[in-house]
Amino acid sequence: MIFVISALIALLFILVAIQLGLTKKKQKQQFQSTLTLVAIIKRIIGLTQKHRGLTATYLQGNQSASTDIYALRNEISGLIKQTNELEQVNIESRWEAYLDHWQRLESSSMGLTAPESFKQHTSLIGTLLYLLQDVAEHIEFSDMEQQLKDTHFLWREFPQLVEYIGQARAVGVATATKGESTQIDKVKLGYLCEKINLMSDTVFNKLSAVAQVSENSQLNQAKQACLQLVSLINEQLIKPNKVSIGNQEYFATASSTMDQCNTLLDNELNAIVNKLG
Amino acid sequence: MKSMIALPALVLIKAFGLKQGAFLIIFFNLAGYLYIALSPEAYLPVTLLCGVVMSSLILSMLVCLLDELFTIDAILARASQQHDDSELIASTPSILTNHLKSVFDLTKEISRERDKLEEYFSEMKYSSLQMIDSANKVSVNATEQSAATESTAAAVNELTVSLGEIVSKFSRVNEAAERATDFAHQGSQNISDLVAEFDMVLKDVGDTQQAITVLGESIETVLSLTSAIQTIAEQTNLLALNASIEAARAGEMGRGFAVVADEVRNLAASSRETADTISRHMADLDSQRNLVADKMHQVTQRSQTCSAKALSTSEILNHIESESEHSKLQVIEVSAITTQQSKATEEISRSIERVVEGAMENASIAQQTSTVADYLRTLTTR
Repeated sequence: MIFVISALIALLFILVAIQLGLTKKKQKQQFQSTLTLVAIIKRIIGLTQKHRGLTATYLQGNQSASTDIYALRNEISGLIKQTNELEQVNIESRWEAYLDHWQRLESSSMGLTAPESFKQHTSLIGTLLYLLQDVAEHIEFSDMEQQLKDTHFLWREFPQLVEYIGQARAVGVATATKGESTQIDKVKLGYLCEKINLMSDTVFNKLSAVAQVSENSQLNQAKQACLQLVSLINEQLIKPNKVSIGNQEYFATASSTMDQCNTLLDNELNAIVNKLG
Repeated sequence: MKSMIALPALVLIKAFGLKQGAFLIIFFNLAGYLYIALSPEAYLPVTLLCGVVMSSLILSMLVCLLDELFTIDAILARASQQHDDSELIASTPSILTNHLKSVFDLTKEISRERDKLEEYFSEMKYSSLQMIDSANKVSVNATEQSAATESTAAAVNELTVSLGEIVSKFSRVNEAAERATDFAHQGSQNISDLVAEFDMVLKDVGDTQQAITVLGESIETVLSLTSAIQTIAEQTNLLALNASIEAARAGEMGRGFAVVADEVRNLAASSRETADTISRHMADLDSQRNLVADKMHQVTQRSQTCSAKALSTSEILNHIESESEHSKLQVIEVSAITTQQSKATEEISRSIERVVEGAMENASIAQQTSTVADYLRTLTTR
């Protein structure tokens, strides 16, 4: 009898150990899937921001932007297809909301007014930013969260900073294309400049404290790029009524600032993936 | 010690999940009770061991759950104190993660709504500040514009008054031009009369010249007659001399004849003297006549020059009259234009007054807008 009981208890321990191993493996797979999803969503956000900027310049009369817009749409479609294959995305209700909104916006964006297009794109990007946070929080609530201490801002404030720069790019490029800055444009751009200044201070201070791979020179460079963009907006788009800067020049400058910030963010995210993966 | 007690339940929950882990512990306990109830007394140590295992599992589960609850309480208390949902992530519990995540999701959605509102208010605040700034600028500009427009209105009023005076002056200029036309016309007529008079003078001068010519001829005749008298007087003197000689030759007989001859000679001398005097006077007269003829010639020439100049003057006066007429018409036209300008400036003056009123109203509206925007700003910062 003792033998039977001992055997049962041993079997129980073995079963628990096997189950524990299986659970850990499943969690790791889910974790990897989550990291992939975070990277894809971040990429989709970047492309949608670019789509917003190009649509804004197209709606202000720059017909040549349509080629780039269609190329962006193809790229986004590919990423959506890739995302749909991930099991993790099925539990995210915001993904469905994004898909629905994107399909509607994709078919109608070329016929909208510039302000309406900006509003729709910004709302869509807002959904994506929330989705990024939601997905990234699965990582934070996982068993490995202790290794991700103080990285919350990487999917909250940092993408928001890039989004503010993206909004400034979209509003600014439309203003540069039409060649004049209305009072509404000035208020919008002034507000965005204020937000970029505040958010860049917060983000770069936090990043300099927890940066894993980014060097101080890169941080300073990105911070300077943000300050220069704000200065450019003030000098070229807010102070004068007649805008002299070319839309392509402005788009390139703003895109370069976004790229510098995105590079920092990508590097940090890749470092987390490498660390946890 | 606490973690050692909690370990069995923690392992089960980690391996199977909270529900399944709890179910397994309950199952083991039920199986244990069944075994204790049915086991023979001979296996007392086994029964006791079974009891210890059952108790330790329940104790482990209780410790585990209580520990989790305390952890969650502490996390919620910190999050509540700091009003920051990121605190919920900062120290995640071991087994009630999903429960905490549900709380986190709930607070996250609330904080997202709050953030949206904050963003909205922040944008409204910024826009209100811009609006206040713009309204203040509008107010300043409107006040300056009002002052400038008032000055302009005053200037236009002065201009209107000046134009009224100009119209009045033009009316006087018009009257003067009319008078000038009349004078020119009168002058022209007088000159024409003068020319006619000159013509008459020329005619008279011609008649006078003719009379002088006739006078000259008469003087010539008188002179030739005087010369004949002189000749007669000389011949008479010679005859008287011859008679005196003959009388002397006759002696006493011829004495009386000598007296007569002397008397005749005296008469001849007297005749000659008279003839000489006449001749001298006639020569003087002729000289005077020639002088008069010369003068009359000069008078004729001057009269002709005067007549020509009078004709020229008449033409000039006619021209002046024509130009005066033209000037009068121009003055009438300019006067009409100035009257229209005067009316236009009056209209401008009225319009500027309306602009001044509008500017003052704008300044007031801008000030009100600024006040409303300021109120809006205070609402967004509450």
